[in-house]
Amino acid sequence: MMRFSLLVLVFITVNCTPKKENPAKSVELFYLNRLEKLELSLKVIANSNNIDSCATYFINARNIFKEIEPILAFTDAIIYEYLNGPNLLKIEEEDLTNIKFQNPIGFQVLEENLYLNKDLNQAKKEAETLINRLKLIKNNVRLEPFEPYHFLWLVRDQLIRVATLGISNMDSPVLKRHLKESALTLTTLKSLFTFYENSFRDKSLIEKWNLNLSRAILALKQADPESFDYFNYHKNINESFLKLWHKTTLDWQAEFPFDLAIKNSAKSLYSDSTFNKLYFSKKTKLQNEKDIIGLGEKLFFEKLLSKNGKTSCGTCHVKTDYFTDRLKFPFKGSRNTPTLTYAVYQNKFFYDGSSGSLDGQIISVIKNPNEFHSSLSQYFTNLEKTDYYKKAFKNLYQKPINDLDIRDALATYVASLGKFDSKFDKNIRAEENSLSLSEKKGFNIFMGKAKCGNCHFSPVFNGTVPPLFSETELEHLGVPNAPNGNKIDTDLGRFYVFNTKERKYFFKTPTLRNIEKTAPYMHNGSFKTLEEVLDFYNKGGGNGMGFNEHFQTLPSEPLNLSDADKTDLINFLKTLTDTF
Amino acid sequence: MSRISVWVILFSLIFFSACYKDEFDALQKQFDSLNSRLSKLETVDQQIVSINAALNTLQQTQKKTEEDQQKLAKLQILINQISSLKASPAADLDKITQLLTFVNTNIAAKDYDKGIVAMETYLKSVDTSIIQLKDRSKSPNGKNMFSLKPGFENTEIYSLLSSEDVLPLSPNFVYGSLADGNGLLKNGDDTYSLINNLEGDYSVVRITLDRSFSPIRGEYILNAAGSANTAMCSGTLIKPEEHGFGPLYLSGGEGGNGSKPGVYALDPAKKSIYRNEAKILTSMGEWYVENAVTMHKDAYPSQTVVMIGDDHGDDATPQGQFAIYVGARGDLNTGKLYGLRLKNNMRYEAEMKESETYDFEMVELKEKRIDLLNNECVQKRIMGFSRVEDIDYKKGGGANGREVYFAVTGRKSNGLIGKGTTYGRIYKLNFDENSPLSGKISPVLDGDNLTGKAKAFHSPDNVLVTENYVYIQEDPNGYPDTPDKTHFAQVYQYNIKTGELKTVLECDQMKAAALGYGISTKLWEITGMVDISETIGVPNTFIMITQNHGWDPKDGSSFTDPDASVKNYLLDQHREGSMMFIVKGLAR
Repeated sequence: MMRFSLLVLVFITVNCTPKKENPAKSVELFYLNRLEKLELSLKVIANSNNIDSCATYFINARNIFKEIEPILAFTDAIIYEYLNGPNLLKIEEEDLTNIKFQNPIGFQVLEENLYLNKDLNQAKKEAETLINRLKLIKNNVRLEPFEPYHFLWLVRDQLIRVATLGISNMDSPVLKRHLKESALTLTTLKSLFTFYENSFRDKSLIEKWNLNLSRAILALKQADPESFDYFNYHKNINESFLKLWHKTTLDWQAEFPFDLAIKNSAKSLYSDSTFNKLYFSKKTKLQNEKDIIGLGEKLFFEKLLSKNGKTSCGTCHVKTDYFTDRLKFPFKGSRNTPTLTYAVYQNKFFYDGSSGSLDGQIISVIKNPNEFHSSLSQYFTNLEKTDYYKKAFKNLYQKPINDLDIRDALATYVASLGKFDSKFDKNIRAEENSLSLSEKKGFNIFMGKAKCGNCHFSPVFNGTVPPLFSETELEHLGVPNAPNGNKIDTDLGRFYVFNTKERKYFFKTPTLRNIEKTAPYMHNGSFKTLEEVLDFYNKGGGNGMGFNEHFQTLPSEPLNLSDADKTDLINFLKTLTDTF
Repeated sequence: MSRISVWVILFSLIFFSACYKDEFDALQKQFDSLNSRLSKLETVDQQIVSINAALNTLQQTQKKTEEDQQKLAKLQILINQISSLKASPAADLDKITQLLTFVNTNIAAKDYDKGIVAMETYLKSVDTSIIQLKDRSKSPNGKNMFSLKPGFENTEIYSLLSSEDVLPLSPNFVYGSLADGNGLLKNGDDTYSLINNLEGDYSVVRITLDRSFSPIRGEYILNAAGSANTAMCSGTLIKPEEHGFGPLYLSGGEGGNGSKPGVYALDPAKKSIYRNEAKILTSMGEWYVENAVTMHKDAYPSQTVVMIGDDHGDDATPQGQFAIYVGARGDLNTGKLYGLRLKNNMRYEAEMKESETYDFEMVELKEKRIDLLNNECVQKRIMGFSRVEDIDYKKGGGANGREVYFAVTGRKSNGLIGKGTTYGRIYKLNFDENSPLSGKISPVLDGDNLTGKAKAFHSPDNVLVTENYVYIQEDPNGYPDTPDKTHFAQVYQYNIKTGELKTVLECDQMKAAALGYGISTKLWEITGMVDISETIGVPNTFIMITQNHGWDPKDGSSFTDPDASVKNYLLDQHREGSMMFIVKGLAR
C-alpha cells in the first residue's frame, strides 16, 4: 500500500512538475514494485496444496515476469536467462578440471511441472528457488547510476529480443502465450518512456514511440500464433522501431561510451552496418582496416604458409564455392568444411566449439599434419623471403613478419566475409520488393511452425544468441551416419574437448546464410540436399529416427511439415544467398 | 612409551650422580614427584576415558530430548577442555581427579547440570587460554596428506576439520565441498570465529573454535538459495586493527549460470537464520570475482582501497582484469571503480617479461553489469590476464601495505598463445605512495618460462603474503606438460628479499588414496592459507585448506549440509569433501 502510493506520487511528479529528477530512479521504483508483486504470486504457488489453484497464480506471475523482462534482462542478464531458460541441463566447461552442471530451474520448468507433469512438490520447490533469486535481485537493485544511453540500450535489446526470440516462442512451451507476453514487454517499454519524456527535444518522437508501440502491441495481442506473420513483424514493425531508435539517439544526443554487438548507429537488423565486428573479436579499433583485409586476403590464398608449399586456407575454403569445398570431407579430414561467410559473428569456432577466436583457430590449421603441417615459429619463414610481405608488415603493423600479426590479418579478412546483401536482406530493408509469396511463407514457417529460428537465430541465422550475441550454442540433433541411416554418426563432437559424457554428439549451430551453395550438409556432410535435411528435422532428428538419445536438444516430436511447407522453407533458405 | 623414556633418562641421571649425594637426594625428590604426578595423570586419563565412554553411550543409545542433547554436547566440550588442560605442568591434578570423580558420579545419576557447573567453575579459576595445536579431525593428519620438501621437514601439519567430522554443538553440521577463502576473528569470550567460503556449495560458513582451538560449532551464514548459486571463492576479513574499520567479511562471488557475480559483504556475526539473504557491494561492479582484498589502513591514510581480482576465463583474449575500488575510509558504497592499464599501452600480459617492471595507471570504469564492464575494459585497454586469482599485500604495516602480489592461474587454448599465460604467473604491484591510481607492475614468477625458477608452476592460484615471504598454492588446471610440472598441488615459498623460490610441500594423493581419501587422478587444490599467528598468539601458525576432489562419501551420499545447498537440484560433482589443516613452523 505504502509503496503503491509512493509510486503514484512519483507518477504525479513525473507528469506535472518540470523535473530534474533522475528518471532511472522512477524505473527503479517501477521495477521494485513489480518484483514485490511477483514474489507474492510465487509465494502462493510455493505454499499451495492444490495444483489447479496454482494455475491462476502462475499466469499472474508469468505476466509480471514478462512485464519486468526488459529491465531484468538488462540489469541482471545472467539471472534473467536462467529464469527464462529451457528445461535442459546447463553445462559450463571452464577447463578440464572445472566442469559445472546445473539443472534448469525457471519459469519454463515450472510451467512444465504445473501443466504437463502435474508435479506439485517439484513445482513448489521451483517456486521457492525463483523467490530466492528474485529476493536477491530486489535486495541489491541499484539503477541510479543508469545513464540515458543505458535506457536506450535496454529498449533496443528488448525490441530485438521480441523480434528474434519472443515471437518465435522461445519460452512458453506449454501454454504458448508468447505473442501476448511479447506484447506485455512492449507495454512496459511504453510505460518507461513516460519517465524519459523530458529527454526528448523533438516531442513528435515520443508520440511516434507511443504510436508504434501501441500498434505492435495490438498486432501481437490480436494475432493467432498459428498464422502469425513473422515477415511483416521483422520487415515493417521491427525495422521501423530500429529506425526510430536511431533517431531518438540523435535527438537525445546520447553519449554512448562504446558499441556493443550491434552498433549504436545501426538503423536495421539486416545490414552490413548492423554489427560491430570488434565486439566479436574483442579488439579495439583497427587502423588501416582496408589494407589489413587486403593483406589478409593475400595470406588466405598463400601456399607458402604450408610445409609442403601446396596448401593454403583457400584450398578447402574455395572462394567461388562460398568458402567451402563442396566435399563430404576435406582431404584426410573428418568433418565437413563450413563456409567462412559470417563466421565472425560467433564466439566459438570449429564444429566442437573448441576454439574461442578467429585468430586462435588458425593455430590448429597451422599445426594439423593434413593442413599446414608446420609450427607457430616456422610457418612464416618462407614469407620472410618475400619483399611484399616484409614491406606490408612494416607498413601496416610497424613490425617484422610475425605470428600474431599474420593471424590478425587473416582473421580480419575472414571477418570481412558476408555482406548482408542477399535477396532476403534487401527485401527486409525495403530496397526491393522481390520476395515471392512462397519465400515469405517460408520465413514464417522457419520462425514459427518449424522452429528453425529457435536455434538458427535471425539475423545471422547461426547459433549466436541475440540480443547480446555473447554466446554461441552447440546442439545435439542426433545426426545419422547417412540420410536414412539406422545409426547415429560415430563422431562424438564436443565430447572430445573435455570428455564430458553429457556433451556427446554436440555440434555448433552453423549459419544458414548461403546454404543453397554450401552442400553437402551437417558436420559429417551426410545430407546432399536441403530436402534430405528437412526430412531429418521433420522426423524429430535422431530420436525421431529411433536413436533414443537422452541428451538430444532438438525436440523429438515430428514437426508435421507438409510438402508445401517444405517447398516454402527451401525457397526461403535460397533467398539467403549473398550476391557474388 | 614416553614413560619408559623418562625412566631411562632418570636412571642414567641417577647412575651419573651417584657419587654426589646432595644432588642425588635432590634428584630423588624430583623423581618421586614426577612419579607421583605420572600416576595421578594415569588416574585422570582413566577417568576421562570412562567419562567419554559414558557420554558416548548416552549420545548413541539414550532416547534424549533436545535439552539433554545440548547438555551432553556441552559436557563433551568441557571434558575436552579439561583433557587439554591436564598436560600443563601448572595443572593441579588432585583437583582435577576430584572434579572428574564428581562429574562421573553426576553423569551416572543423569544430573548433567551439576557436572557442567562444576567444570565451568573450575575452568574459570584456572588459565585455560592455552592454545592446543593438535589433530582435531577424524580424518588422517597432515603427514598422511602431504609430503614435506627438503628444508621443510620439521613443519607440523595438524588436521583441524574435515567433511566427515561431527562438531559437538552442531551435530548435524556438515563441512561441505570446495572450501576456500577464510578469515579468523577472536571473540570476546576467548573463542574464535572462522568465516569460511564453500565454493562448491555456494555458501559461507562460520565455524566456532573454543579457547583451545578446537572446532565446536559450524553454521551457515550464507547459502546457495541466498547467493543464487554463486560460487563463493576467496574471501577476506576486514578488521578494525588492520583496516581501520570492520569487522566485515568480503567474499568473491564468481558468477556462472543463473548466478549473481559480485563482491558479497557479510557481517561475521550474522545470524544463521538469515542465511538465504545476501548483500552485494554493487559499486564494486560485477566481475567473476575471485577475491576482494581491502588494503591495509596505512597504505592510504584517509581512504579505503579494495582490490578485486577477475577470474574471467576466455579462449580468445585474456580478459581477467585487476580492479580497485577507492572510497573514503570505511565507505564501500559510494566510491569509484578503476581498472589497471599499462602506461606503455601493451595489449597482452604475455608481452610482459619475467622480473621486468612496467608502469601502470588505474583508469576509471563506469559500467557495473558484468558484460558491459568487460566491454568497457576492452575499450579502455585495461590489461586482461588469463584469470586473476588470489591477491594479498605485504604485512607489517606502513609502506608494506602498498606492495601487493597476485596470482594469474593461466589458461591453455590456441587463441591465447602469445597473449596470456598458460601455466600461471605471480605478479607484484607497487602502488605509488601518494595515490593508489598509479604504480609499477612486474611478473616476478612466470610458469611459462620452462627453464626459469618457477618452471614447476602448474596453475598457481592462492597467495598469502607475510612480511618476508609469499606462499603460493596451486590448483592444477590439468595440463602437466613437462616433467617439472608433473606433480600434485604444491605450496611454494617465495622469498621477497632474495627472490628465491622453494617448494614447501606437495599433496601426497597416493598415500591419501591408499587411506581411502580421493583418487590420485583427480588433483586437489590447496587454498585458503591464512596467517593466524597474531590472532591466536602462537608464532608461525597458518590455516591451510584442501579441496579434496574425488573424495566422496562411500555410501553414495554427499558431503553437503542441507542448510547450505539442496543437492537434488545439482548433479553429483560437488559431493566431495574438504579438509582444513593447521600448519606450524613456516617462516613469516
